[in-house]
Amino acid sequence: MKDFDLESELKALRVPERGQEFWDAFPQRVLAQLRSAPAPQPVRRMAPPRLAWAAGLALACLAAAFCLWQSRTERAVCYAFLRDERELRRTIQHFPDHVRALMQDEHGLHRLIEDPP
Amino acid sequence: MENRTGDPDEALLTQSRNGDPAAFESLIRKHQRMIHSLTYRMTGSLADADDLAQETFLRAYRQLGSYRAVSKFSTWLYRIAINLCLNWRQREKLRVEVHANWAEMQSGAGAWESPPAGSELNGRLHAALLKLPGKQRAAIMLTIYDGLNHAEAAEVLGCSETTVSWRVFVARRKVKGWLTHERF
Repeated sequence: MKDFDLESELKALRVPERGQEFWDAFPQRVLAQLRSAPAPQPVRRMAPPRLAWAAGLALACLAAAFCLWQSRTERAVCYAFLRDERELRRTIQHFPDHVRALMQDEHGLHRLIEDPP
Repeated sequence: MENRTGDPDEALLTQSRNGDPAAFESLIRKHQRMIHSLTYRMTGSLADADDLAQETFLRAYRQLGSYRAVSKFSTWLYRIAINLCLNWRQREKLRVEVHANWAEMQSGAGAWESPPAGSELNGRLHAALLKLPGKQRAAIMLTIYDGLNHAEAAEVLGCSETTVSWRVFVARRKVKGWLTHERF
């Protein structure tokens, strides 16, 4: 097959011609269809997909932030317990039989150390 | 309404929006051949082209309220027609496959309903266009047949100019390949 200019060949392609009667009647057919068809019901506008994606993303970010915060809080509590336990062991090691009372409040672990009676 | 396009159809559009059927009829008369050619080239079937062209104008009328004059009315019509044709292609996939298979078996011209008389190359070109995926065919239709530049075609197709250029490039390469290497 000979080389050819595709564009000019494509442009040369013709569409089958409809008769003049067709074109004369076509607008009337459309208008008749419009008159016969019931008026379109107002469609409830759906949220645009972009907005839905943004809302989904924001929700996912919130969930991730909550999980992160939760795990950090749990980790902080665990660290506090471990630190207190270490302190307790050290205190007992240094003052065997001297620890009379232990108290835990928001400021941490408190010890009451007294000489044995 | 803001009109940035200097659309020659603006007056008729305003009258149509105000419920003047004669104005909308004038709009149809003005654009019917262009839309019908597009739907025929997209479908390869005169009957389907008639229905889709009619549906294009019905949709346009029903959506006149949502038309914003940031693009020309003709561009907006193109967009409606192209979307209808692409949806039609999806719905009629099976039928199109049958047509395409037939096109492969036949000498091309027979694959189109009431094809225009022409050379053997014409028939093969028709068949090759029919084989293209819908979006690539739409890009070819708009840029080659309707003379839209890639930016205008991108506006109609709702994609970037680069995507249009790529689709046109791929479509041309495919058509050339089919015409050069394949026997229809």
